[in-house]
Amino acid sequence: MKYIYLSLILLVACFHPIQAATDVTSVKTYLVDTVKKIKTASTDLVKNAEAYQKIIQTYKGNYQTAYQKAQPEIQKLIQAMQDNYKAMDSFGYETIEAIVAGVSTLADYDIYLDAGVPKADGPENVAPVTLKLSNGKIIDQEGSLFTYLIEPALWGGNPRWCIPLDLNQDGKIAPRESLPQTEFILAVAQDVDQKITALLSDARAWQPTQQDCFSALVLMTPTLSDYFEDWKESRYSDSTSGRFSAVSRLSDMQGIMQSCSILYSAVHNKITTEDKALAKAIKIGFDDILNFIEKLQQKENQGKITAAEIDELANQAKEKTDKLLPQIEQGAALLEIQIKA
Amino acid sequence: MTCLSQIFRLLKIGALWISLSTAIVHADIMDNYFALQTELDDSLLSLYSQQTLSPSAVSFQKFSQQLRHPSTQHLANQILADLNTSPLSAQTLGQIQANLQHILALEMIYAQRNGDIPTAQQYRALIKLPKYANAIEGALSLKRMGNQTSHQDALSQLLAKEYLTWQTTRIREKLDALNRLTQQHPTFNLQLLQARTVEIQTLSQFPSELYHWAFLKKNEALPASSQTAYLHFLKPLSQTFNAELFSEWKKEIETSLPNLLTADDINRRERLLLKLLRLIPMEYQGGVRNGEITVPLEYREAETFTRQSRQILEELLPTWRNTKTQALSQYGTHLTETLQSLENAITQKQDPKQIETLAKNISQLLQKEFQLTLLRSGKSSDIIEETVLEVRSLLTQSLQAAQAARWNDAKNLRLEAYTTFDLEIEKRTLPRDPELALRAEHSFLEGTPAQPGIKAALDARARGEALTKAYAKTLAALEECHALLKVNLSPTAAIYTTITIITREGLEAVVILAALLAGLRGPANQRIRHRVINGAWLALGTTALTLWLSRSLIESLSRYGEKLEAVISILAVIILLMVTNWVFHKVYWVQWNARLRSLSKAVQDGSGSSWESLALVGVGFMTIYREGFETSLFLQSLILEAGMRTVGIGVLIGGGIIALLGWIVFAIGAHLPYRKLLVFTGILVVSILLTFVGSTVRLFQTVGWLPIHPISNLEIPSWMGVWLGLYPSWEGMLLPVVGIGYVAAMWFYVKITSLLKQRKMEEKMPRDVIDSANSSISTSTI
Repeated sequence: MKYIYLSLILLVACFHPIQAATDVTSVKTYLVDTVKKIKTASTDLVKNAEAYQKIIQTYKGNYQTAYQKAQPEIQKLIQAMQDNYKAMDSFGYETIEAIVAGVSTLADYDIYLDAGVPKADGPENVAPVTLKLSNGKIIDQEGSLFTYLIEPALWGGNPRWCIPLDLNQDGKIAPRESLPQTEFILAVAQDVDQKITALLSDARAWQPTQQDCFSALVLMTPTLSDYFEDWKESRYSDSTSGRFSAVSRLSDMQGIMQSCSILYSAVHNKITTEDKALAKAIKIGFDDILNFIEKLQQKENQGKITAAEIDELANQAKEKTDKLLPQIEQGAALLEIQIKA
Repeated sequence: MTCLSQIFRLLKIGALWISLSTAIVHADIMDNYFALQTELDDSLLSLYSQQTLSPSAVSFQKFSQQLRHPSTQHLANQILADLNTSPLSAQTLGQIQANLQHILALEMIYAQRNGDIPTAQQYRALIKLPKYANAIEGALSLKRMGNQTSHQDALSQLLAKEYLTWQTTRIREKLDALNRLTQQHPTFNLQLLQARTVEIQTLSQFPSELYHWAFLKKNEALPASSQTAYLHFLKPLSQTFNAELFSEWKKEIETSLPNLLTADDINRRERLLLKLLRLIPMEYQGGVRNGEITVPLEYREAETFTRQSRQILEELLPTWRNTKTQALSQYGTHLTETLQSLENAITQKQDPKQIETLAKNISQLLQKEFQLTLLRSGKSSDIIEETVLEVRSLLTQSLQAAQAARWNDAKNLRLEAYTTFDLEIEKRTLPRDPELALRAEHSFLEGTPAQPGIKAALDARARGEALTKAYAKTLAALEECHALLKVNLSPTAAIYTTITIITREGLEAVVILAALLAGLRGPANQRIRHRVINGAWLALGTTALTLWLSRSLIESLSRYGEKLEAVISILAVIILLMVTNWVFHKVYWVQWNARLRSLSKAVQDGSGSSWESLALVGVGFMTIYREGFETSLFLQSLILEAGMRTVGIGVLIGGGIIALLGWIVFAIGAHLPYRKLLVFTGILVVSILLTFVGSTVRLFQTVGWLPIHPISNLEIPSWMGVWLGLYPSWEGMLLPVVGIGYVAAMWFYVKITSLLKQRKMEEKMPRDVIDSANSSISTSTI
């Protein structure tokens, strides 16, 4: 009798789904929960931007004097706004990007918030962000809120959104040594807060389907190899674009992988019923890439990486990511799910 | 009973253990493989960071225990021997990586042939795939036909072919990546290069069983396998990299790859190659200015298209070695070198003109020496069927891309669909039903206010119904064209169509020419008249020559047909602007001359300056040739369908009608008073100028030299476009108005300057003489 029990236990162990049972509603729950957290951060950003403006206005718009007289308060607010940004983007939006960008009803938010380019780089994917600042200045389609406006403003990546100042009082102004323009940072903070509110409302209204999940996976998974390619190129030559200063690009890769992984977990069990091996291979594939990114992070933290290592890592990343798309497509075909164009 | 239940229990236990052991084996295959792969990856990395971390033989032993195919045992033993060698070299690691793939493929098919579908699925799920591999058919077939012995061979064939296709693509990608690495990062690591070289070489040596299952005879699929270049390249690689030897080895690998292309595949790839070469300069021009990337997406597209072109060429080269042997031996090196130069020029962000020249050179070489053509061969009906199918497929893909917000892809696909439509369908539809051809063409571009075309919809980033309707409209128009072209053209219909074309295209030219000639009456204008007539004869001769050369010339020019038309049209507009100027000048000088003749007969006609003569020769040529060129394009497709004789009859009748119309206009003009005639001529010239400007704007928009901003709520019938050059876009409506503005400004300028001159002269004359002259002019001219 004990053999039967043992067999049953082992059978259950072998055939138990790799991940806790999930379905498409779990993707929505994850999305809504994450957007709520982003919303908290965006609301805080507005408050901090208002407080920052108030201090600068107290000194009649003289940033130098304001910084001299109220340095601790200003530094604290800048730090707080940078933390708000990280909570909104790097540790917030990036972890749902594959869902937002991959679901057709939400895709426009991705252009507006994260992926849209300035009109000068258009006409493709121009972010339709137009802001009217309190000083009357118009910011017309200069790129997405996170990538082109907020992050460069808070980390001094774009002099147009900042006031260059000798913050460390060493007699010279180094690149990025600046404070964000109050009118600009307040306007973008208010705009991002409004947009996140709208995203939250649309995310709540979204009725997810398996087709949505597969379609988003098919759309977003191939972008992973582009991320790795970008990483490789940036390792070969450091970028000076002024963007992507907040956290490493690897963190973004981790975020997008996480959201792809969440999407996949919603369809994993279904694929398992059709082709267990395929389902397992995809699951291991996603896990493998997440581990791989961790490995990359460790390597980056260790410091120097040789050119050969960079190339080999990029090559391995390509092999891991290239495989996933055709496998996901097979899963959809086996389930007779039409990928949404 | 007890005994039976005991037996039943034992059977149940047995079944459970069997399923349990199968499940464990399945789990082990995948887990063991992933563990082994991770160790291999880590070993390679450690090698490049000057550490030594070798994969353990234990992992491989675990994996190899489940291998069943006899041939894999040999490969497994080789790997095991390698793993027991210390230290493990980069070359060995590369070799193991590739051999593992072959093992997976062999085991997959072996399991499938033994009816063990779950195991086959496991091995299949482990095989490395290129990014856009098509793997659906195999997955579905394994699931649906896996257990049917009657389909065993067909399934093995499918799986083997799939594997060969995937790995062939990976080999090409890896070769390409290696090539780029050596060119872009000159400080590459030689160990890495060795590992990749051996991996590619091993991967290209497919086990013979795979060819057998794929029903490909190895010797027929590829030339005799040789490793000469490989060994030459690899031997010194531990010390130095030799680019020439690399190139030789690359060529050897490409030659050794199996030819998996069908005749249809080859045909499609050849056409796609030409299309990509046409798109590369267009994308590049939009993406780079003064050596700087202005639109990254466009630049990246140009890069991608160039890379795709090379990959397609590499795919085609093995087949061309048999089918285009002579061209390949003569121009093969030049072709690949020029393509490499194009790729380098794009990387270096060189002048767009340079890119255009290189792409054009490659395209010409392919068309002239390798006999590639964008035009399909075969029966006309087959060509139409095939083209309609292709356009429809491209439009569907474009719509899908647009719906997925991949706007750039959507635009490129639209462009490809449009160029394909333009080349075969519009060209054939235009002579038969210009209204339909233009309507279909509009639908690819800005459409109508009620229904924006695809380009307008994509420019506006339309979504939902607005987007799908734009495509539906074009597909419906395409179907109409298809239905029209299905019906064979009878000789009577061909003659009638030719007459219509000649009349339509000739009318504008003849009216303006006859009016001008009538305006140049009198012996004083004889010289100018002769120049205009000479220009017209020259244009007629050039048109006839264009038509005569049409079979060879226009086929090669057809890619530029609309661009050439646009250039000719803009020249015609310039000439017409000069003529308008001249007419105004003439009106006032005529009035002035009349006064002078009445006053002193001292001042002569001011015409005859050199620019006027040149302009008039130009007008004679341009007004005829502008229409003549277009007529040649129309007639060419009619000749293809109805034959030269039938079209010739139509040309003669149409020519006769035009000559009659010209004579009538000339006769009317000859009976009008001179000044009235000039006013009449001026109005005609201005109206034709407006038509020219409108249609030229349209042509510029068609070839992408001007943007399109449709005017919503303004609907203009297609015939107004054909006859009056009126199209409902802001550019199309405003630029003719700018033309009118220019004409009006010139009219005022000439009027004011001539009045000022008159006054100056009148001041010098006695008052009574002037009054007498005025009264004589008023009685004679009004």
